[in-house]
Amino acid sequence: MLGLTGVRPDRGPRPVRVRPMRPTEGRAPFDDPAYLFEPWWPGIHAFVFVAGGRVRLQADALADPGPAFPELAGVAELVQVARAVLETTILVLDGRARPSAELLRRRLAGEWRGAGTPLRAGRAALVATDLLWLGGRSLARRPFGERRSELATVLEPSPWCLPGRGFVGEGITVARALGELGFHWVSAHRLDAPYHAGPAGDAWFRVPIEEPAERTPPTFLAVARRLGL
Amino acid sequence: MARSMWRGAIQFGLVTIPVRLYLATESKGISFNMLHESCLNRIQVKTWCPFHDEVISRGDTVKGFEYAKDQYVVVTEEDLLSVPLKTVRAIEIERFVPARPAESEPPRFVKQAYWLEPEAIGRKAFSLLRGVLEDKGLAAICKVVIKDREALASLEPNGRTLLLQTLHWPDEIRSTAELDLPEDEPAFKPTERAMAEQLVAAMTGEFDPDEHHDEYREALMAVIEAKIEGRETAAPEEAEPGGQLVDLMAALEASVAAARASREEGRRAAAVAEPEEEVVALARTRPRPRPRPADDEEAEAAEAAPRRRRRTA
Repeated sequence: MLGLTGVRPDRGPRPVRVRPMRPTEGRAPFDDPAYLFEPWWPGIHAFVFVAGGRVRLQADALADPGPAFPELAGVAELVQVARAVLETTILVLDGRARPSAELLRRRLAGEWRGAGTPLRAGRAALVATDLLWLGGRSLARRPFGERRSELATVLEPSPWCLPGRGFVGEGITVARALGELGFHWVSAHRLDAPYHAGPAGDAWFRVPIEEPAERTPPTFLAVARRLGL
Repeated sequence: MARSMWRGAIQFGLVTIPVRLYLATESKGISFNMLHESCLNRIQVKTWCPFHDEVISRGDTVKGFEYAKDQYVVVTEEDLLSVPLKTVRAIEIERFVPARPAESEPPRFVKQAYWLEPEAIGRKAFSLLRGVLEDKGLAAICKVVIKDREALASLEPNGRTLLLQTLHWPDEIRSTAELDLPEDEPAFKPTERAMAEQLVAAMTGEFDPDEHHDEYREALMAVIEAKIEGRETAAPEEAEPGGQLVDLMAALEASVAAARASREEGRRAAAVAEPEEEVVALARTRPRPRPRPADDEEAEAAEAAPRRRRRTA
């Protein structure tokens, strides 16, 4: 199988670590056909390295979240190529299928019985938002829109692991919809932007759905959001 | 305010300031009484002497100090009152120190806190001492006897009064030597250090006690009140398996569709005709690197619009 870049997915160098792109803080939702808008998923931001049927995480977290999420080993079966690096967010969903910071915290705190049996700790989920490596080649120079499209072909959807759902141009509409669902931030990726480490500039924004009326003390969730977790 | 639980005087040098002590804190924990299960009457705890095999009254007891196995010496109230301590009726100030301990100092482990109230005769001196300590950022280290026990204490200004906090004696503080602590500082990557610092910075703020409350006590009181009112108490769900991600995505789709419809309705109501961009969902569709206008009118609109606008925070 050849990927978007025409490379053999099972050959070439292997990335060891990805230096992440850091989104620019936006001020308010906006409409722009050059951007893909989607939820800013309130979870643990992680790069998932799939190679030879094995999964390795590089997470923006102080501790390795891998032991708390044994389900993630199943990602290897869903990725249709031998080697890939996905940019993802690890979530824990509550009974209403909404991301729960409290359940995520409890998962990380070890409220986990093992053997796939959750102990009132919700259901783990993985949302993939970008494809950075395919086989032995980096896709970083490819436009985000192409990477995202390739991601949809590489990752087989499952009930707990999906490519993100994005909407082109409709930032304000998406923000309203996300507000109804209890989200607080919108992610806006410029479709023609390559991936690069460090500050994203106008390639990627994290936009608050509403300006907070007054400054409130940071909750765990707020801290996680600020850290991009 | 409750009754004072101690009367005496602050003493340092030749200064004596008569004061009363009030407990500064109270436990709000929910306590239970033990009932006999069969009749639900409250049980009683009797003082029983195994030698005489009889129940005795509290008044028939004395204090005994076990100096060897089963060997006691009796200590009477007179013995306690005759203890030669200057601090029996006084808060004896021994030294003034910075109110906030230096990093090199061991922490001050607090046992109990008391508010001070000056007697009428000592109000002026009390205010003077409080003001000086506040201005200088100082606390007083003192000794005081409360409930037959001499206590080390700190005295520091707090609002319009002084706060007395009894402290653990140094030999009451357990050593950390028995803990399994890393001997060497682990090597951190700069990114790990930066992340930890960012986390700490994000959670740094003023301490507001009103933000914190005992959630367990509130939940337990809700259960108790429900039982008093004869309502069923809802036990927490034992298993919360969580919904599926596909359900969340479906909810997202539905919510966007509803928001889109609402927005379009608003536009029509405002009689503002704006060309719409074709909605492209890339995640589940084939690649479409750039959105393309669906018809000529939209193409014109797309060309008229700025290709890229700088978004800044």
